[in-house]
Amino acid sequence: MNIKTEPGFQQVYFQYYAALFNTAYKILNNRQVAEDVVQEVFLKLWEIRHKLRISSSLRSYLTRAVLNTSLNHLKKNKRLVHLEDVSQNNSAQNSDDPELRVTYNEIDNKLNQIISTLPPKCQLVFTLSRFEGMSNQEIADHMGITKKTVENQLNKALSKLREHLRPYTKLLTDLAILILSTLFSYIAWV
Amino acid sequence: MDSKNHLIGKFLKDEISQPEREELDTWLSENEGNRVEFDLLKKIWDRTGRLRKDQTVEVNEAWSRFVEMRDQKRSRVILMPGWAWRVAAMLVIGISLSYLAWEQWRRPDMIHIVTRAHKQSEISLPDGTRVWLNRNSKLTYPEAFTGSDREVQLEGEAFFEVIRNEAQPFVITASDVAVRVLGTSFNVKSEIGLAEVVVATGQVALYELENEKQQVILNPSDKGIFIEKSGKLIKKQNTDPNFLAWKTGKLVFENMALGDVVNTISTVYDKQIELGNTDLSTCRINTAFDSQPLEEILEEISLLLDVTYNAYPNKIVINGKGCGDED
Repeated sequence: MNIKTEPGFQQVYFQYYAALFNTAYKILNNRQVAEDVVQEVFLKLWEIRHKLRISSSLRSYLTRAVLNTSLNHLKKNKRLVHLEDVSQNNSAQNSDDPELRVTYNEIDNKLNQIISTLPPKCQLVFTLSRFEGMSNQEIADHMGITKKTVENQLNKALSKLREHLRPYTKLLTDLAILILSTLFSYIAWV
Repeated sequence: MDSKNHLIGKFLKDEISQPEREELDTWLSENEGNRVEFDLLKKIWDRTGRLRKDQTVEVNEAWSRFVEMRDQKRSRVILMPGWAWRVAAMLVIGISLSYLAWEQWRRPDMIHIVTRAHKQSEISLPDGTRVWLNRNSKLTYPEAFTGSDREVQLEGEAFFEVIRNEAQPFVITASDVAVRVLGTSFNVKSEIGLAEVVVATGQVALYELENEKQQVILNPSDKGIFIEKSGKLIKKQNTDPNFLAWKTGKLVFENMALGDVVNTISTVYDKQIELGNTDLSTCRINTAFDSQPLEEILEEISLLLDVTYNAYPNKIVINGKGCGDED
């Protein structure tokens, strides 16, 4: 594919946009910001398309660019929590049980909120690991850090989550029971 | 309890090894509290997996927004060359002037390479030997090696990769000692009253300038030390895994006390780093870095030990409470 020409570039855009957008979205938890990040990366690619030398694949080049741009965004907006996305994006929509829905909501909101207060790099590592399913080695390669650092950042994220979720421990357990009992009553009903 | 966090992390990420798995199982069966802790972490982990699902994307709309932004930007970009040409012209003049000055300056037979506080330098000698000169160091060598030895002088620190030539040994003089080799790689550090040599590959002879008989032979991972005051040459095992970090950028800390970690980073990054509380010096760290900026290293230390750091113009201070006697 020749990205120097407009049709070739458009083809690349159509091929990678959705995947890149989702990567950015999972890190940033906000559709608008995620689109801004990806557009910024493609604008940059367009500007430098003539002198571009990529040693690996175009895909990994673009992924790396999206990660760096997202990280910069996290750094710049350390204190900004994207509240608009906190409530609209959770798995509660699937549930008919109002009680279950409330509990889901509460915990998901809390989780998103804690994640957004992690230090930027820690947040990036955690979201890539958890929402993008990347292995520790992949994350290390993309971010130019060591695997050991990735492990350390993940453990930190996990213990921060645990620390902040202490008051919700009972809720988490209740939730597990609630899901089980719903399941059982469903089976019994069938 | 925190020490098992890394095992739980690996387990959840499905990157745990068999021995680690056994270690985790043992820890879990030790008491009920451990099991509860583990279950809680697992629940949190599973729960977070359900946040932030894949989104539907309108690529066509995104593309038209892209085209709009791109074309707006394009009209701005055309304005660039005006000042860019001027900058380029200035650069050309600057570079040619400094090249002329350099030609003038290097005319003498001996070549002196001096590095300043923030810059290292990589040098190729006339025989093909490569030298990495650390900050604040000076290397002197002739334009051509004509004598029976290939002689160079060093002040400060450098890593040598000497091209093998048995007919013409390579001799480095630093402080009051000399290092003689045929072909090998090693690190030489000379400070006032002290010289240190650590060998990476091959064999190195380290001897006193005034008394050539006083000599030690060093093999890989040996360290030779010369102390000027006592005139003693000592040979011992090199215990510092990071002796070449100034060149490679690679740092490894395996269960290392923060006091030692800070000393290493301080030297490698040439920055004064202090502990605000002496209790901190016994905190232990497990991690590795590869050519990362100092800021990232400090961030990771703060993360691992729950400490904070403050950067002042001339030093960095790490603050926090100590880690007790757990290790």
